[in-house]
Amino acid sequence: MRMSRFVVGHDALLRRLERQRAEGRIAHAYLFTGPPQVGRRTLAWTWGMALLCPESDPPCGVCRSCRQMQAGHHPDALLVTPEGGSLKIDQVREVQRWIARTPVEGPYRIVVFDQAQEMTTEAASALLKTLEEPPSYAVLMLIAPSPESLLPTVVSRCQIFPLDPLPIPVVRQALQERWGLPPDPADRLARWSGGRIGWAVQAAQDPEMWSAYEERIRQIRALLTQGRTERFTFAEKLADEEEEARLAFLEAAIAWWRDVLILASGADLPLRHAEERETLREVASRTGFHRARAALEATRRAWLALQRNANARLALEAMFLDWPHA
Amino acid sequence: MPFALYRKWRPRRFEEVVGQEHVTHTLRNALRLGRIAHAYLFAGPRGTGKTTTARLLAKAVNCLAESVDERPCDRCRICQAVNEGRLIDLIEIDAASNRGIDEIRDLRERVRFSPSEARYKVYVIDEAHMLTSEAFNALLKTLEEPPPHVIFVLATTEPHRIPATILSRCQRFDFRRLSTAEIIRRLEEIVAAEGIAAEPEALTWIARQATGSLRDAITLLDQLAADEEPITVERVQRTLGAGRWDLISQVVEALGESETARGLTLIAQAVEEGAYPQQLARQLVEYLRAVMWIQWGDPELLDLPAEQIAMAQRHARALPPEALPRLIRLFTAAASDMRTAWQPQLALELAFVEAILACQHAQTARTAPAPTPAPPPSAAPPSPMAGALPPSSPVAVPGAGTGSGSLTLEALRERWASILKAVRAQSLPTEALLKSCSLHSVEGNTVVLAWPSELLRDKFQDPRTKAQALVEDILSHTFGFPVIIKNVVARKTRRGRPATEDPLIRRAVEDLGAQVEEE
Repeated sequence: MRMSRFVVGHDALLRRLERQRAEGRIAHAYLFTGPPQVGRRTLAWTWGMALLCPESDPPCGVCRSCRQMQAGHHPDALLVTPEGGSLKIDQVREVQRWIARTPVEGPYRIVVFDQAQEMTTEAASALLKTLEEPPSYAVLMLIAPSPESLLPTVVSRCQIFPLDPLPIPVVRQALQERWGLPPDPADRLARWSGGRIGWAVQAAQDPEMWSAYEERIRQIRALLTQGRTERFTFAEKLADEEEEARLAFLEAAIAWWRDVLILASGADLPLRHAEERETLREVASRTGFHRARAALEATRRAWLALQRNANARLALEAMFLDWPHA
Repeated sequence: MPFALYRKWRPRRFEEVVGQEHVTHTLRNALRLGRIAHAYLFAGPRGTGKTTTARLLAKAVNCLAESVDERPCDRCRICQAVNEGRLIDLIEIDAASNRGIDEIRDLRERVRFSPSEARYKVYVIDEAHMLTSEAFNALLKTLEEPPPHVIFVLATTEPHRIPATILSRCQRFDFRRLSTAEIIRRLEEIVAAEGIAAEPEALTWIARQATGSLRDAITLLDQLAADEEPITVERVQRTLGAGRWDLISQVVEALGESETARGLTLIAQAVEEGAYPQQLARQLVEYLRAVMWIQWGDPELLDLPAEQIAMAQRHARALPPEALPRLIRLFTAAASDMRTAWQPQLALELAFVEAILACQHAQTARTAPAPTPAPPPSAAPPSPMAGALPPSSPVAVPGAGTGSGSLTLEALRERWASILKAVRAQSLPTEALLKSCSLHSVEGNTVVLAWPSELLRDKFQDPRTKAQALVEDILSHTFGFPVIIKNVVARKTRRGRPATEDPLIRRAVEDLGAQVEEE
């Protein structure tokens, strides 16, 4: 099974795909679901690479076809991404024309729709017929956060392969073995990533991302002891930053409060920020279960509000009102 | 070569169409009597047989078999051509990709030519609801009076998006969702014919997951059959990311006993075993729904294995019935909440914690003494029913000290909570309704309630529900004289409440040091 050389984790899914190939039961439409940065696109593209590779134990990674795939310009593979925020009907029509032509080199023509949830209703409906009865050589792959984010009529034509965040040990091991990180930072990044291998790898290669994360955790801790004025000043500052930074702060805060909630509930579960178990435990005992829950809910609410283009400063201020003093 | 099972197993004769007898029967009768309409609308959920039936119709009207009863014979030249997708006179149009007026104009032009090899030209317009309104308009005339050799079949999953002018020109057939049993039967046929080894229970799982769509079920079967091992319940569960039922049942147990830590640990354990949080939430909904049905005393209708029902029965006694609708809503929301998908467990965990709070709340409310139509606490003998009291003039009322003091807005507010409690003991819906109104004012022995909408007010006033009568009765008992309710509609529910009752204003006052300038 060579696909695992190109994909971290997801062993069970790879085995299933591998068996499909071995038995010649390749589906004509796949749906890969899961949160961002867990390796959906890598998996889809590697599957395409395996299908197109002429060697006996594909993907070999060295033949012409594999190299073309890795470089992203194989004549029989097409990656479709949203244009200006959505996948449009014209893009689907273009795919239909492209797929109507027989393969140039390999046995298949492969189309991967990234962020398929951004398909307009018109585009998705236009795709239905092609999804249901595509040419015999066509393999269509869709990538989306969940089946619910697509039209049910689209989903019912696809084989669904759900990808989850990876187990923390798998991320840790990959960081050590494939990206050469020492054990301790590998462990830290793995936990902080929450199983998002994409995030962990980026952070491993970019020390700034790493220190930015640590800074965020420091801020969260500091904010707890601060009064309303300081918190509101911070909210104002954060509101002025890039959207990405705001969301990253809130995501860290959600993970942090979840740790507090777990400790406050008395459950013995792995923590995302195990390196500061003592601080977390202290906060948990001072805030108690209910206030920790309220803080977590408030933080999640703020995160959702920002997703929906709410006024950032107001959302953050409202959230800080619900954070306890500890 | 990719060739999905659901395409291979597309029915080739009317008898093979599953669960749509009301459609196939009528169509066959029409064929027998030679009463074929020129335009049909096939409406229904995905994967229930619309396109399939449309193709069968095309076969049947063109089949070369001698006897009408045998059509489609599935053997003649025409039938074979349809099976292989090469009958020129069966024209399938994907309305979703060809939705504009130009395509329809083009179609209108071609409709006039007579069929090349068959008796009828059959146009199947799939996903018909996607046509633009101009396209629909262009189609109108053709649909109304098509040439005699043409049959139109419009297929859609969303008939409400088809204009009424089109609907009225078509004979409409509604395809229904298939029952779990029907899907299982079809799966059994396929499994037997394909030589796939599968546990019967596993097929039940597949069928249940498909929620009435045969194509969903067959797609899942196809996916599972790609492995050489037999299809077991365990494998289906793993593929679906379902949790073990005993684990689900333990989570519900933890819920009933307010054991947060245990519940969170169980959820984490299930996820570690490979379950998807969303699927877990769905299972919890299914389980709690079973509990609710059992509490209502109607478990026969449940579509669940017996052992699960037995487990649910135990929990039916432990969980407060009034909390269940809320629990089910919480987990339903968690099942579809993918917004924080980068932390897939979070939505489920929070739903669980909130569910525990809801249970605790319901339990305390239950154990609290239910002060039903409380006798007036004064020394006066328990007054009989309100109607038996001497009719008192409104002027005299405020002073009438026999009850528990005068009826003022203040007094009413003070007692409102206990009044709600008393109402709740008699009728939950009335209490729920009452919570949506606000106390507007008191005029003599008349209490004015402000409702946020006509709808709620009318519901409250509806003599059939007896809601208003009940509340008047309880108010009368509380204050010791007949109280009448007057209803008004005030869009702003906040009117009539002191500003400090508003949580936002209170927060501004308490946390931010604001002052209320005007009340």
